[in-house]
Amino acid sequence: MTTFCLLQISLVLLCITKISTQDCNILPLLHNKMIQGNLHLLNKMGQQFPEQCQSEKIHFKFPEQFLKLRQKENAKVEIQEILQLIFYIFTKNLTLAAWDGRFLERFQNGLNQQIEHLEACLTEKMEKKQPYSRSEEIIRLKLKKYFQKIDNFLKDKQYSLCSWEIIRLEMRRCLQFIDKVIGRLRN
Amino acid sequence: MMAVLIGPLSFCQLVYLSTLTTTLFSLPEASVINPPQNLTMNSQNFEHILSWEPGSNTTMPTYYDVMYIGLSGSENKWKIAKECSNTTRLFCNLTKEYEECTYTYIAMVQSITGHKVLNSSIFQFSPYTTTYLGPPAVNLTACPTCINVTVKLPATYLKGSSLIDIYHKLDYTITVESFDRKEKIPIKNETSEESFSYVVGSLHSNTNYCVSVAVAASLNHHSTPSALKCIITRSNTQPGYSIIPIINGGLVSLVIGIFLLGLYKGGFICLKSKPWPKALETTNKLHCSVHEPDPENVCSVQIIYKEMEKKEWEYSSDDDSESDSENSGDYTRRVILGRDPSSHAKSNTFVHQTIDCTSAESSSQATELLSSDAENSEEHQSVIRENESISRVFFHPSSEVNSSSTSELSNSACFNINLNTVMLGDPDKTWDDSATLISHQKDAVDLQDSSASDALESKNFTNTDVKKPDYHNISHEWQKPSVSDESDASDSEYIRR
Repeated sequence: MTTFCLLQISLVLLCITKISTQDCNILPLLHNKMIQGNLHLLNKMGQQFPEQCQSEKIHFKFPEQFLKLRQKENAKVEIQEILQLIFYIFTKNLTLAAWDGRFLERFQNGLNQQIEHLEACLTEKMEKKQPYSRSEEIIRLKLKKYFQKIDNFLKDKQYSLCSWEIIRLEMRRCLQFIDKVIGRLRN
Repeated sequence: MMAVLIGPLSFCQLVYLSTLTTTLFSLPEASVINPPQNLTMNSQNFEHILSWEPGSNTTMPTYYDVMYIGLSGSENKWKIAKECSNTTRLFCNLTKEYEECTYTYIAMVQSITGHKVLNSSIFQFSPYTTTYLGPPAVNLTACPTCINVTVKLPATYLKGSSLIDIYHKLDYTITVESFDRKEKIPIKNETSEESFSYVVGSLHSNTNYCVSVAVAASLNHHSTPSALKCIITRSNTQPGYSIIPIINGGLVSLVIGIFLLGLYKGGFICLKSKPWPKALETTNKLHCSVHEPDPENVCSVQIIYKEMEKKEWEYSSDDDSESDSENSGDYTRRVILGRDPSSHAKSNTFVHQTIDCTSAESSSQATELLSSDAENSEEHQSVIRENESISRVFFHPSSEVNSSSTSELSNSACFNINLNTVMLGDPDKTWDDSATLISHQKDAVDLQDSSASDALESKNFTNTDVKKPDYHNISHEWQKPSVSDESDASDSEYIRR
C-alpha cells in the first residue's frame, strides 16, 4: 500500500515537474529567481571570508565579453555550460570546506534544476540554434579556460579551506554575471 | 581541627581573590586599549561609507587607517584608503576604493594610539548585492481618474555607470495610497530605462492620492523608497494649464508682428501705395540737373600727345631710363593712354593742359581728368569733329606755359577731345604720319599684350615696355617736374612695369 502510494506521488511529482519545466517562455524570469535562490544558498553555507586566506587568493579573470553576447539562443547555451561547470566544481572534494551540508546540498540541487530546465528548453528549439560566430567561439574558449584555472587552483591547494572560500567568492561573482545576462534575455 | 584549618585557608583565598578583583577594577582604564569596534557600512547607490566606534575612551589621540582588499581582484596585500589614512574621524568614504561593483571587498580599521597598533575585525562587503538602491525622483501629473507617474533613477557614484549599466534590469514598485490611508495599491513592474513613466488608472476622481516608488534588482533587494508625493485627481483641467497656450499664442503673434513691422520698415512690403510726392520729384530733377554741367566743365585741350609720346616711345625703345634724363621735364608729363583695368575710376588721361573754358581759367597746373569712358569719349569725338582746327599746344611743366598757351588758345568755348581722334606725331614731321590716339588708346588697352602695336604706325613705339601705368605716380611727377631723378626713377619704374 505505502509503496503504491509513494509510486503514485512520485509519478504525480514527475508529471508536474515535466509540465513546469516545459514552460520555456518564462525561462528568463524563472532563471532569475533560481539564481537568486542559489546565490542565497551559497552565502548561507559558509561564514564571512576568513582573514588568513587573503594571501592565497589569485585573480581569476572572468571573461566579461560573455556579458555582451548578442544571440539569445547561444547565450542560453553558454549559461547552461557555465552552470554545468560550476556544478562540476562543487562535486569535488569538499571535506575541508567546513560548510553547512544542508545548504550545500540545496545549492547543488538548485544548480541541477536550472541546468535541466535549460537543457529541456534548448533541445526544443534546437533547430533555431545559430552557428557560433568567431567572437562567440572565443568567449566559449575563454570560459573553459577560466574554469580550468579554478580547477587547477583547487588541485594545487589540495582543496583546502582557504582555496574553497576563495572559489566560493568567485562563484558568487560568476552567478551575478549570469543573472545579468539572463536579465537581458527577458527583453 | 580540619574545619579550623579550612576556615583560615578559604578566608585567605577569599581575601586574595577580593584584593585581586579590586586591584583589577581599580586599574586605570587608559592602560586598556581596544581596537575599533562595530564596523558598519552605510551604502547608497554605490557610495560606501564605513564607520566605526573607537575601542576605548582614551585621552591620548588615536589615529585610524582604513585598509581594504578586493577579494576577487589580483592584489593580495592590504591597501590603505587614501582619504582615510592617519585620520581622527570615525568614518571613511570608500566609494573610490570599491570601484569594482561585482567584487567582494574586505576592510579593516587600524587604530594607532601612541605606539600601539590595533586591528579591528574584518568587515566583508559586496557592493553589488548590498548597496541600497534609490530613492528615485518622482513626478506626478493628474488626470480625471488616473495618475501619470514619471520616475527617474538616481545616479550612481560609480564613474561612468548608471544603475541600468550595472544591473541591466530593475524591478520597481509603485505604492499608491489614498490620503486617508484607506486603500493601498502596490504596482510592480520592471524597467530597463533610466527614466520611465507609468499610468496608474482606475482611481477615484477628486481624491487625494499619495505615491511612493522603490527600485530594486533581482540580486539586490535593498532599496530606499522615494518620499510620499501627493496629488488630487481632478476632473477638469487646471486653470493654470490653460494659461500656458494663451501665453504661447501671444508670444507667437508678437514675434510675427515684429517681423512684419521689420519688413514694412525695410520696404519689402508696402501696405499702402502712396503717390510720389511732388517735392521729391523736383529734387529728383535737380539732382539730375546738378550733374549735367559737370561734363561740360570738363574741358580738354589739344594735347601735344605726340610730342610726349614720341619721347616716351623713344624712351621706351631705349629700354633705359638714363638717357632720358635730359628730357625729364617733358617726361614728367606723361599721358596715360592705357587704362588700368583694375580701376575704372582712374581710367583718366591726365593731361597737362591749359584750360580755357567758360569756367574760371586755371593758371595753375591743374590736371583735369579726361575721362576716357565711353560716354565722354563720344562727347569728345563730337566736339573734336566740330573743332578740327586745333592749335597745338606745347606743354611744359612750368606754369608759364599755361599763360602762353592760354593766349594761344583763344577759344572761348570749351571743347572736349575724344582721345580716339587725337593724333600723335612728331611736330617736326607732318601730322599725317603720326598715329592716331585711337590706336594708342587701343594699344593702351592691350598694353599687356606685346602684339598691340600694329595699329600704331609711329616709329619706335613699343608697348611692351609700357605696362600698367601708375596714375598716382605720374601725377606726383607733374607736381615736381624739376626733379629729374625722381622722374628717372619713375620712368624706370614705369618701364619696368
